[in-house]
Amino acid sequence: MDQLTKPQVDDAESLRPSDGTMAATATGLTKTYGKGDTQVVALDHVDIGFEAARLTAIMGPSGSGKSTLMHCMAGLDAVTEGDVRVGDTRISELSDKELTLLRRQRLGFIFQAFNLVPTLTAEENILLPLLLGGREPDPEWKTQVINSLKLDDRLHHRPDELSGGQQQRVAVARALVTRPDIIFADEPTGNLDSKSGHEVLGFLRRAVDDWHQTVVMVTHDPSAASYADLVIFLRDGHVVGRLEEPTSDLVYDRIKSLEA
Amino acid sequence: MLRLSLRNLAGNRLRFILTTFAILVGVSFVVASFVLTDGLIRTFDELVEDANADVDVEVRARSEFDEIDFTLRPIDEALIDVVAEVEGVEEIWPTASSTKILPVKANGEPIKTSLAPAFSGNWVDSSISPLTIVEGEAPDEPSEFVIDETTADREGFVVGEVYDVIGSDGSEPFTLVGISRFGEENALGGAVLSSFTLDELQRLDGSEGLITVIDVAAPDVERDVLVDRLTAVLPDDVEAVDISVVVEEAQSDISDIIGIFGNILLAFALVAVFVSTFIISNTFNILLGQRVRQLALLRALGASAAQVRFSAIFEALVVGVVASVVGLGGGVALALGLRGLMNTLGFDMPSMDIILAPRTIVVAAVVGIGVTLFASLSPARRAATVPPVAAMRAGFRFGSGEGTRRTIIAIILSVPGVAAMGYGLFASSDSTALKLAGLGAGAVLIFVAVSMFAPLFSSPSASFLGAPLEHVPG
Repeated sequence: MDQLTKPQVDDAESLRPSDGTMAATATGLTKTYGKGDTQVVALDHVDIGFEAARLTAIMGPSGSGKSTLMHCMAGLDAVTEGDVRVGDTRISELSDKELTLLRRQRLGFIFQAFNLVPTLTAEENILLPLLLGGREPDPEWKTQVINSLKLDDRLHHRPDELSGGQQQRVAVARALVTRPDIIFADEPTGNLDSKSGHEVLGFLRRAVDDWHQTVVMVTHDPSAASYADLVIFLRDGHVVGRLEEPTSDLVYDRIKSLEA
Repeated sequence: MLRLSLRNLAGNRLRFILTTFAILVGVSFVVASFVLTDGLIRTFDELVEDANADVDVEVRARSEFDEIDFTLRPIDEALIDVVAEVEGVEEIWPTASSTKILPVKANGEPIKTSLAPAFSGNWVDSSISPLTIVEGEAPDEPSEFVIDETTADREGFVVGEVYDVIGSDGSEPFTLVGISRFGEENALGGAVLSSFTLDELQRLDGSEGLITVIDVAAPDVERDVLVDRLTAVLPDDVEAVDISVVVEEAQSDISDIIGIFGNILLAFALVAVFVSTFIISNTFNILLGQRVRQLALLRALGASAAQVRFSAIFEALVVGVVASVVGLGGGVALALGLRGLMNTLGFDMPSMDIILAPRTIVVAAVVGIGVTLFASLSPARRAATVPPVAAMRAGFRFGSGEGTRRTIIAIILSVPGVAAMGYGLFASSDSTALKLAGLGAGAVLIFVAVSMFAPLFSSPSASFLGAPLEHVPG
């Protein structure tokens, strides 16, 4: 269980910019669904790494395995074969209980929809991962996160009293409040209008730039991918390309060529 | 997680109220059956005690079996004089009763006695009688009689008028000289009660020279001394019994009768509880089905399976506690309502004390909380199996799982169920209680079996019928 607790390091050190270390890696990651004739290979021996303190986008056509890759890397779904590590922890070997603790303490999640518990207030939703573990938030950090996401006057509202953009910002705050090793974002702007979408992406970008958080984002939107430091392209369960310093146009062109 | 459970309940107030109501009905029935029987037993106990407060010893036929009081063999009225001679005896009240006498209404029709029998007795003008005259006077002459208040009101008997009375030898005219009241409220349970002089009662009954019992008061003599003295002068087939024994016997007879009535209520209660178990279990399953994404979200964010399971059980616990507490009150109200209903139907019941025995409270809690928790176990277990990925994927459904096992258990249950029910319906001899028990047990088993089969074919129909519900905020 010790291996799951976040290593005790200085804030200064944990907030260091990217130095090429990997926040999460996968080697020979294979995920299949079904058996025999109906077997579907979602991921086929994928080797991949997500660099710390960077924003990585995963793109690919539907059925490419991008969501499965993220679920497997985040310990949400069991892998069929291969080795997945978050930091130094081999998560493919963890029990359900250990995975639960890993998600609670070391990972943050932002989903496309149904991100928040409807019966809890925005503040309770933000603190939920801490409440689940009976932990107290660091008050300074909490205030900093809430203020920078401009949520300070929305804390006591229920999710249905918030706009879509505000709801996604609450989800971002919830992902940040535990200062996780990695934040996994699954189509975080999929349900938002473009203004709110860019706002949320701006916050994720700042989380990486200002607080050196690690963000992995699945998206199908080239303009969302343009916020990333690196875009990884998937097709048919294989990594088929990488694009550093992406722009919307470059991403768009690459997707076109993949689909061709 | 506790806060979340409470919020979920508060966020779903209507559903919460409906679920609670299902359990509440069962709890109320259980409580009502206890409150009603406890209250009635105490009332009748007090009535019997009051009626015999001045009596020390009762002289009656010795029964070979443990018979109920009103089937006592009669004794020779000559014993009245024998008893009166015994040293220390101050007062004696010979009583006789009959079920062969029926007053006729002014329009010539006999009183209908469909609800309870018609009793007649000799008028005993003393504090030992639970009867008092509320209008007119007691019967003094052979051609006079009194009738109870409720019957007089219902059947239109008027003091001073002459009515025919049917006895064992045909009918003859009697003058109604008074109206009697049994206890404080004339709560006879619907029986008709008429009183005559002792001689006339014996004649109408066709039992001249015979009486039922002799009650004896001898305040200056120890009761066991009096019993000994009486036994010495009484024939072998007649006994003298300490009145406290007679009171206990009567109370125990009354408890038995009320107990049967209470058990019928309790049977209803158990059926209600049983049905509500399924309602609750289904409701919880539906609730969890609607909340799959929330459960998955919690799991993704780091809620353990145990936390999810516990939050579901805690929700059930709150429902159970509320249902028990409210059901306790509902049960008391239901008991009063049932008493009122019985009065309306003609079974006059005395007003009674509301007795909330500790046993009643414990049973209410066990039923309300126990049943709810029990019903929530399986849904809670299923809730904990929601995989965290379901948060990201729409359309996750609980697997029907255990389908084969369910079917096997259902078949195993249905066989003895059908057998027990068949026995209850068609068995020719044996006791009614056994047949009823068979019928009940069979019904329960078949109900369980069918409900286990149900998921196999209800899924398509449920998704069709339930489609509009998907839009109800849950």
